[in-house]
Amino acid sequence: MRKVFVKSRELVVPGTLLAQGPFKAGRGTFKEGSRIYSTVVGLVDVRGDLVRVIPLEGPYMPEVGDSVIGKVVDVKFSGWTVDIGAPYQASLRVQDATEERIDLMKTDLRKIFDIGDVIYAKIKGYNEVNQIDLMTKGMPFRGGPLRGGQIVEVTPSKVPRLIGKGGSMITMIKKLTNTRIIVGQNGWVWISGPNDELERLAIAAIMKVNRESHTQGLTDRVKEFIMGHLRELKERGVIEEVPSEGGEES
Amino acid sequence: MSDQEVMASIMRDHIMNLLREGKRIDGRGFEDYREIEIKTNVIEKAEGSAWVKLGDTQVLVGIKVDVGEPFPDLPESGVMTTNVELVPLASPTFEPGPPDENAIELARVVDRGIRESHAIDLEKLVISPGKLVRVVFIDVHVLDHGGNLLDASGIAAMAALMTTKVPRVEYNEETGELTKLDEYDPLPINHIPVPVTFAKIGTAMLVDPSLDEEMVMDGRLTITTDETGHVSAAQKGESGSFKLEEVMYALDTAVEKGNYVREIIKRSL
Amino acid sequence: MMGRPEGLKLIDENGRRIDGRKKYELRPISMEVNVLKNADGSAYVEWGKNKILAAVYGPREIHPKHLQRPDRGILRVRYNMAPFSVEDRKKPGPDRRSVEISKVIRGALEPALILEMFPRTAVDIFIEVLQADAGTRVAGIAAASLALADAGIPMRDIVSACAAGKIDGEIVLDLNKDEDNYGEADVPLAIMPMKNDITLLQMDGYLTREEFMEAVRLAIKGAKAVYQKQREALKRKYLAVAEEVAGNE
Repeated sequence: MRKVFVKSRELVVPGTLLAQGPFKAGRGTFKEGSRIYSTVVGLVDVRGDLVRVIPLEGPYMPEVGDSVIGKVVDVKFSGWTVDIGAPYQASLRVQDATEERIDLMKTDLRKIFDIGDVIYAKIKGYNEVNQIDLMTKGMPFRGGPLRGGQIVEVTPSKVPRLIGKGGSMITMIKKLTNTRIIVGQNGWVWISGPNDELERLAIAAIMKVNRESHTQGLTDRVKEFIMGHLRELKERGVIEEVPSEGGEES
Repeated sequence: MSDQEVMASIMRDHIMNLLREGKRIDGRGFEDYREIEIKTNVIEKAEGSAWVKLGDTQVLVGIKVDVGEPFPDLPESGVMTTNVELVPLASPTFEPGPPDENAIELARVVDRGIRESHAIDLEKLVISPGKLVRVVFIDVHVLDHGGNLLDASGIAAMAALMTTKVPRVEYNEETGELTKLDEYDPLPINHIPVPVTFAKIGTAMLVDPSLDEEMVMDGRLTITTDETGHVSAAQKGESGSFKLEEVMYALDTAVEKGNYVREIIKRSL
Repeated sequence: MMGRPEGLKLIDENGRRIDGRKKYELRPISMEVNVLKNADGSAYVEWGKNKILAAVYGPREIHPKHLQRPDRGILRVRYNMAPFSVEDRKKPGPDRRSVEISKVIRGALEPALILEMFPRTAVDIFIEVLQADAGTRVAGIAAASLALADAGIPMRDIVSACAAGKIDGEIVLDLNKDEDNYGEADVPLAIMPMKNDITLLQMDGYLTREEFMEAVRLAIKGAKAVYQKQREALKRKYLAVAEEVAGNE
């Protein structure tokens, strides 16, 4: 028997029976016998024989290759401890931090990254004992520290929506608000703008995406939202010109 | 994994394999208690006491009877309180210090079983209504933890209560003077509640779990019944879950095994 | 059970209870998820006069290390009553009752959680009883399950809970404070509704075997009704956004 009990993109809660039969239980589900149930609050996604639920909330689970934003919480003898919002703290070893050869006896590692610094790193390794290794070497902005700006958090599962198809959503927000934005796959987003108002507007747009990620027609609504505020900012003399709607392609 | 956890997981496989063949690790049937040994009046300084051995588990209960004020909302009733000490001498896992959650849960389930069946006739323990009543302290001292502390404590508490002697007193309402006499009355007992504990391992329900069985059990269920077949306490403990049919089975079995244990208590007096 | 005022009747000649409810009727219940900013998940439940807040933090690495389990995360529960939650001020901090309730709530929720995904971590649940009117542990479990789902902690099911009891000789659903004080028994229960697995069962009182089973069955029915409200509360948060968005177009 092969049966799916829910519609695609249907909102489900933990314990909901999703499908029965020769399906594979993807993320956000568990299998018991031939039945697949949801384990989270989220949207159902059935592709071929894979049943999964895209969570609307939940902790960040690292995957090798992810680019993340993190905050340095400790400086050790030969590396750093970094909070990336995962259940486990991550480590960055000095040889993964920079191309330069560092003499540990002579170098104060705090000069590279200090406690409180915001970094942009790649997940280099994540093993079965939950050791997370980061790498900033070869990352854009040399991995940081990212100066100024602010960090906001979105639900990690909503990052793809925030980036949009081919980067469409985030590019639009950046262009229209004239801000620099780095989205970590851990849901941490770094934003730096030319002034407070535009920075706040970009953050508001990002949080709107986070809140309404499960709804239709989001890109247009976000654009409208930003444009409305931009016109207001122009009237108040904060900005000189409202950029053209599409923004220019980079 | 730590050594202890490796051991637990090996032990679980071993126990589960035996259970599939219908056997328990110590050869008992699923509904069998380990040997129960009861000695009463073992502490002369206490008004009542009982030393209970349940397999490898040993507990000592002492009863102290004092006088004190009744609760304001229950002026015509004596007071009972139950306390459990899991002293470090009884197990490498017990730590010195104030009662932890295990000791507190244990004490409260034993207490509810006795209190709710009105096992002690507290209304007969009033010296002066609203002013002075008897206070019965049930203190459980666990001496050796071999599993199923709850049933051992419940059995010991009842055996101790049933042998408790209360000194007669003379109370002068005018002067408030209280004199202890050298005469004793037995503590008035109405019912004999007995807790029966089940461990669920896989789908098996085991009466009176040993320590090995407790280490690997999924969940625990205790049901206390008295000689009239009434239930006076129930407690699902630890993790795991039970089906309605399993609760029904436990209830019927608790009445039956409760009768068996009650006879042993009575014979010990 | 407390000394009962003379002449107090908990069920009147029309079969109505002191708050006007029928025998098998729940008190009014309202639930809301995501009510706190700092917590990873949270929920607020009003159940009769009970007002209960639950928050979840984690999974997060725990120290000291000896508390860690290499094969799974652990669950920690703290049930706490505010000093002003009851008629006579309660001394702040854990008493014996709160310690026991915290422990049985942990046992009620643990079977539903898939903590094998988070070795060496802890999930912390904090249940704050802001106002108490009997049945706080079952209301606390309902709130805690919602907070866990809101935190995105993977679960096999949403744990639901309800109590049944005996007042004036009759088995009824969901006792309020007076019924709990002057009644004959209280049977709080929690279930994983999908497969009717009982994860919390306690009894305080004196019942025949038949009455006990009747109370258990009734509490299961009550918990299933509560479960429907939990599902609605979880979905409402997202459906409300979707509706609001649609409404603006």
